[in-house]
Amino acid sequence: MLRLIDIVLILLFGFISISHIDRSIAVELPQASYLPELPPDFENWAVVAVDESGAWICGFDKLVMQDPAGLENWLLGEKEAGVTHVRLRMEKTRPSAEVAQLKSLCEQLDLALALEVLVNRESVE
Amino acid sequence: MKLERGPITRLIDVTLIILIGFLAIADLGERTSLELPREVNAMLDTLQLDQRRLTLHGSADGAYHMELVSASGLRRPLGMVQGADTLQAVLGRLKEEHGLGGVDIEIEGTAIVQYAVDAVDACDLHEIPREIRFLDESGAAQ
Repeated sequence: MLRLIDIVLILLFGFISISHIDRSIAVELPQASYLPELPPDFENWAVVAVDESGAWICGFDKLVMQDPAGLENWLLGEKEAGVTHVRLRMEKTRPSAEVAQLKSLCEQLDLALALEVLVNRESVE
Repeated sequence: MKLERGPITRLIDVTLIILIGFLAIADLGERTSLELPREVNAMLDTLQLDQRRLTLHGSADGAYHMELVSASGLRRPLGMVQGADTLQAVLGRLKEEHGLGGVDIEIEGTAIVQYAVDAVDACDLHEIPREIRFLDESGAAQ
């Protein structure tokens, strides 16, 4: 039976080693209680995150863009790859002007934009 | 008295520890998305003649300045409210008293994103149609 435990652990380490694990981005999303649930569509989404420091972090590769031109180039590349929607994961304490900035870029590139919100139904009950 | 721990017990222990580990690092929060449409004037076209709308201007200090706009375009300032809970209560009362047809939310560029979401959330609580504009640093709507 100890052999079985060894096998389970080996499998676990195997899964960990092939997993895509890298640094996570600490983003505390804005919260809401009454926003309707919208089913996510993961097929044509690109994700842009803005962390507490205000850095633009793009896609699952977590590329950090230093300026709007870099962000625009990245979005253009995503659009050419078939992306139609951008999902914005923004730290809740960041200024709204940054949403306006990304919205303007998305409009130029004909991309739809949505702001990701954490649903907190408990506060309703 | 020493308890005997067989291999099966140890296997269950290991499995549970792995399971709890995955649960601890999993991001299980429910999420939704606030769509930011390109056309922000669609709602105004659907307003009926006897309906009024409210302009809600969110500023950097968390205050919302309110203005009631009649169907004929007359504007009446209603003062300001501070905080999400107060905003929810005031919107509910305004809906009852004035039969609000919609709320135009404008958020200053220096206001934090949570204030924008609070305003949208208050409208959704009372099922009032709303539209949101994010102003950039120069004050232009996006």
